[in-house]
Amino acid sequence: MESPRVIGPLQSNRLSSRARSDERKLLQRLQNGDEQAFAELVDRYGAVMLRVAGLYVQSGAVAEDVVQETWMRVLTSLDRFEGRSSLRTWIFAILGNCARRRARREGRCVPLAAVDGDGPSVPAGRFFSRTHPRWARMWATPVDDWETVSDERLVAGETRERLREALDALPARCALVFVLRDAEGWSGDEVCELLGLTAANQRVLLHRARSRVRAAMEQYVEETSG
Amino acid sequence: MNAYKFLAAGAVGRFSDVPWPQPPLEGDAEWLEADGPPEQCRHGVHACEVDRLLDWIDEELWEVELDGVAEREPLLVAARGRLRRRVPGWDEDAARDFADACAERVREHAAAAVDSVAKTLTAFAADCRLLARGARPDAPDAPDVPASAPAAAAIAANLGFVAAHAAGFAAASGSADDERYTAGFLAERSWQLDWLRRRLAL
Amino acid sequence: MTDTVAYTCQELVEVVTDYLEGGLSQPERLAFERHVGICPPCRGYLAQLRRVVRSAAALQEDEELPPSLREGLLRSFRDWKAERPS
Repeated sequence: MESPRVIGPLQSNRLSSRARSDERKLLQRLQNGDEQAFAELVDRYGAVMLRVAGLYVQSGAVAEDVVQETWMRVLTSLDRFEGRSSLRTWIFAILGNCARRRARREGRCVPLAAVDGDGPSVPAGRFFSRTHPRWARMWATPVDDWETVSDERLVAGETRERLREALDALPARCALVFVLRDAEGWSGDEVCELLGLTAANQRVLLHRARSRVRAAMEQYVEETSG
Repeated sequence: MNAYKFLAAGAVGRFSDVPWPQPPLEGDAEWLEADGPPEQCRHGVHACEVDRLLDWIDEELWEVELDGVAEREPLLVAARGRLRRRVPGWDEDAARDFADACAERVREHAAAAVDSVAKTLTAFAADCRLLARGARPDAPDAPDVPASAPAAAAIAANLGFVAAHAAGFAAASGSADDERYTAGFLAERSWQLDWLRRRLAL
Repeated sequence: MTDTVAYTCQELVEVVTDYLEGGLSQPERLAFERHVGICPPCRGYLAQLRRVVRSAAALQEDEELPPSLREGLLRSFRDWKAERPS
């Protein structure tokens, strides 16, 4: 259900054909036992894998175990990878299986379907009240379009720390959806499949995360302007 | 067929975020092709006829040529389109003049309003003064020049709507959802459209 | 002006991701775009959320693996390579 008219060049979701061809080369090297290729893959996906594993299991140490186990399974089943999905999809499917198995062993039940409510995307105080005679529930304060705010200022050093903090303050699954979709460039369908979410729930989580990140950026921009 | 389209600065689609190919000094611009079967607000190249322009006021106004028009209401949606020429009269000055004209109309409505709505219409007129300089309404302490004032075109789009809303309110004597409101709203929109047509020779 | 859907600003900020993801119905999309068209702060808000999405790619490189885990993985790789039938 992607709608390029609206999404435009913002989200080049799925792997591009170039990325696919890079992936094939990487796979070839991996099958030839090239350690550098393995290191590249680990550096590319390892941290996100750890995040995913962390959703299912209690401790960071166990999550690291799950990632270890996943890579071993990836290596030992390399010959059976048929390339019907992307390598990335395949690796994360194995990761999901390992993590769920471990969660069951820990007796943890992960309520993956529910998406609980959360506060508004923008504090109610930014809007006129619902009883205002002319402007009920409309913006009471201006909203800058950030046209004059450089990328440098939005994502460099200090802002980046703020964003990290905003992400860390979110429920793990919510932050993960944001990282996968907006930072890593996964498609909505891929994220739904990995995390067992409906499209609507995936959007709720994504929106919550984006809203928090936006608020953190806005605060930073306001503090540092003028 | 020929139609019009408002675009953000640099001939970028406000909603699609897609930059339209601009016409070279001589010859035709490249076509912008639809990304799927034309469908309102989803796929296809969107443009409108003159009488729908007010909803979409933006920084640049272009004449566009559409090919393969599949839908007409509420917007024209086509398989492809290309920019013919930028309407030269639509610039920041025109946007500011349009906003001022709309605000002035609200003051006139307020002066002519019956007692039951005079107070609200006067408040709308005061709001328009704030909105026209980029502040928010009902903000008595707003600075003369807000730090992050919207573009002149965004203010124009806003003032047009607010003035029509105020006119509808006046026509309906304060009740917001009856036929008189709609009639007042549309009458104001039609006054605004005449203004645009005259100013831009559309 | 017989629109069945109309958003207040406070409602609109809750559906921006639905809009960007193609999750709104056609009347909702039209109502969304018309509102943004005539509302400067909502224009700003939409631009901000798009900027958030665009900027997020820069966060990608922040994600780092604990060095001990990375080393462990590389060791496992060497073991796997040594043991596998060639």
